[in-house]
Amino acid sequence: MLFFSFFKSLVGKDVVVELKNDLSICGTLHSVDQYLNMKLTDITVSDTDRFPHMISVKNCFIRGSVVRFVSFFEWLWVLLTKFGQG
Amino acid sequence: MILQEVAQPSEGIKLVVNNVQAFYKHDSLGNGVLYITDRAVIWITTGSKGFSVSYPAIVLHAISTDVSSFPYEHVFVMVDKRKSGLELAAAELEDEESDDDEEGPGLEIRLVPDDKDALSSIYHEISVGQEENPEEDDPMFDDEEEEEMEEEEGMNGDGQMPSGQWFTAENNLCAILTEF
Repeated sequence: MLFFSFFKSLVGKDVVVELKNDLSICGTLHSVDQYLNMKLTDITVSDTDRFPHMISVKNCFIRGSVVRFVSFFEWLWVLLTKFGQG
Repeated sequence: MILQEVAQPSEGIKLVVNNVQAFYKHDSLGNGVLYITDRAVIWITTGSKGFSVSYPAIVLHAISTDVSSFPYEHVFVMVDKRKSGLELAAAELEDEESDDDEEGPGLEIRLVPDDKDALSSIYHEISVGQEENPEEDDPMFDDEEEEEMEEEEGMNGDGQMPSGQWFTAENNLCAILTEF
């Protein structure tokens, strides 16, 4: 379980999780289990026009199988929020 | 959302919450009973109408306590429309089609229990249900791979964690030190 080992090392760090439905969520990776289900805290979403309901949510549980990728470069998040709206 | 005929679950029930109002986006679907079972999240209102969402169709769930964007504290559930089998009413479909993305971002269901204390137990039981219902045909979690890992690391190696065991910052350090 290469990915599981890798994600374990990201616990406590800020990550961007992109889901297969194109929703990107930035937050602190609180915990991860062997199915790569993830709990994120202090989340923000980039595309609030398309996902307005997510503004009010602070913590969430994400099903592992819906994740497209996880990025841990914070600068990428800055790019997404700046240019991702267009 | 079109409510369907849903049978009251009889087995595998983890949690039953009475007086739960369900919303599709901002439209109330009525007051009903919420059942969280080991297979699905089921909500039934008067006349056996309601919806049943299996765990693989639940993209994410969360507790929302910010009443400035929605008037009640609630458990927010994002559902994959294709996997769920839920149907939208014609007017709602038109809304969806105006969206750029044909698939749509997913259905948003909000569960508002009368008793606010139930929020955290609803959230928790859905989390447990998710952990217990991983993808059935996902090659990433192939049994063979698991067996290989067991051989490599030994049966009690830290690569193998029982279901429901979470990796958090608190129990992180030791495992990282042994791995690298």
